[in-house]
Amino acid sequence: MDGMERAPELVVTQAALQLGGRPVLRGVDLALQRGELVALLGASGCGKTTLLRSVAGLQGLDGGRIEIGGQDRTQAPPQQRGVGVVFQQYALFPNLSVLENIKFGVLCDGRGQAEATRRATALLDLVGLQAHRDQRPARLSGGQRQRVALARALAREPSLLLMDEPFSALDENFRVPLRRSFRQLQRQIDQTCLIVTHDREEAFELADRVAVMFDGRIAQCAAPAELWRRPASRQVAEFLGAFNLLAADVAPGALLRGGGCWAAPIEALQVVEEGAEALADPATGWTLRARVLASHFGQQRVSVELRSEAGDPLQLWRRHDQAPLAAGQLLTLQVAGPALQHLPQ
Amino acid sequence: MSTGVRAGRGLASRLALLLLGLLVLLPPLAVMLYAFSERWDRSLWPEGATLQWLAEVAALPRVRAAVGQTLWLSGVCALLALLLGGTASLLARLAAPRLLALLDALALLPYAIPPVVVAIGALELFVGQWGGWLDLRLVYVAVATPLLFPLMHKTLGAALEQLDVQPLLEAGRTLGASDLHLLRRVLLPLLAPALAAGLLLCWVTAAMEFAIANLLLGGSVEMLQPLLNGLRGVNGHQSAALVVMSLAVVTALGIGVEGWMAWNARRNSW
Repeated sequence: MDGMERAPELVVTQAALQLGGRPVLRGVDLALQRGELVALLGASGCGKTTLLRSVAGLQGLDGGRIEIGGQDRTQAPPQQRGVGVVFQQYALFPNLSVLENIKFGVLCDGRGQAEATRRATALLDLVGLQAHRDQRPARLSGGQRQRVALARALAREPSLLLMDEPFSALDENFRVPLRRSFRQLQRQIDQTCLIVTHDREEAFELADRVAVMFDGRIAQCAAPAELWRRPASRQVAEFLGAFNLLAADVAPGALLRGGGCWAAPIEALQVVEEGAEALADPATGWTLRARVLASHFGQQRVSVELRSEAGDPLQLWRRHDQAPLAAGQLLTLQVAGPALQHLPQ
Repeated sequence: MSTGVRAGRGLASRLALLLLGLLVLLPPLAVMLYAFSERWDRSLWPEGATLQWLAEVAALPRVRAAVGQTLWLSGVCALLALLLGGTASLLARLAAPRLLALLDALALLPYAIPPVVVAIGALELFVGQWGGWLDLRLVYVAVATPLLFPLMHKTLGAALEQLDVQPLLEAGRTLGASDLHLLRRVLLPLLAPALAAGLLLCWVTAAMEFAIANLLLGGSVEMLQPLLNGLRGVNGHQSAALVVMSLAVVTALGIGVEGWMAWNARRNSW
């Protein structure tokens, strides 16, 4: 993506908001390039939905500025922001047919019945719901409703599409194929998109960049690969749940630090089999011993819970075809130097 | 708890329910029997089945006039309650939630002040002062309409809560719709069954109102309830026949609205 050469579609500057005396947004900065998909990822109550609602104009700000398509829209009502929104529960109008739901926004723009029908028909083809055009939303499955909500939000050709947990109401069987087909569609029409999710896998699979939010702030906004490799803080690393964190003040040799911790992706932690040579470069890597607490059989791998001799909780991923590890077993483990990143306290 | 004790409690609750049902149903059943019997004054049981009283009462000009006046005046009261009360309730819930507490308090007032007090107050205030030139039917509408507000407010409130309108409003706004357009295109069609139910409830309540109609309009405009009371002293069978006719009309309307609401709910629910 040639993001740097294109004008930003959305710029949020120092967005601040208090609700009921509690700060919900604390100076949030965020910019989306045209055609880019950014996921706001965070736990419940971190402010991600409030930020999305503020961009949509459904929630006012105490301070800060929101620019959409290069224009200041901070005070504009939702009708005049030119954004499309897919709500968590879709909020389809139950008294209108699928076609009428999709036409609704186009007609509100005063573009006339013929144009609205043409646009809605094209979108029905795009989301594969032509056969259901005359049905009411109540007659559709969850996945079909989600696609109607998407088509309705796209019908006005918004410069920015906002989606609030759009796949969370779906069964896992439908969720994964639907979000993949959405991603394909989003790329196909080059739609700028801001998605709120608490699902890490969803965020990483869909987004060009992921903004990790804590307590009303964006702690890190980076491409998925960058986040996996280089979390900006211990908090981000802990939230992503894909790292082993090792206390830096008990580290060996050159890794020893006065504080903070060393983070290494879970897959970087390897068992040193008996008789095998430890690390290629013991000067930069870390060899440690840990005891097996429990093994959890997952769909794709076995996750082994360990505790290091220094007391750090560790996680080890094993293939299903590898020999099982018994609880209480003492292992020698290693992490290669390049996988380690020091995170200050 | 032993099986015996459980069975005993079950039997007691069924008996209590049966007794309550009898208490509720006995008076209307007795009125029905009285309306369809030739006479019921010589023994414990009514004698001879007849439709005579129904035919007679339907043909009485006094009854026709009272039914017409009642339908007209109660209809105006119900429509005003729908328009004013419905609008206030809808606006408070959608646009000014702070007003909701005030409306909730206002909705309790009619239950706190007995209709007799309202009627006497209206007599003192309007009839005593401007009785010479003020149309009493206007005074009746002005006094009876506020008493119907709780029915509209509560019916609409329950429907709005069930609908969960906030997400629909927000979705509509992000699609470029004004609140007025959303109200016309989405909310009112969805609320139509509840509005119809509220209107029917208000209409029936106003039509069955006795105290104000009797105290305020008695002697000038004859309404259904005072007529029923008056007719009771002349011919109880005719009075009972009129009650049965009213009940039949209200029941038919109620079933119609209920059926429409159920059909609408099935059509729109997930």
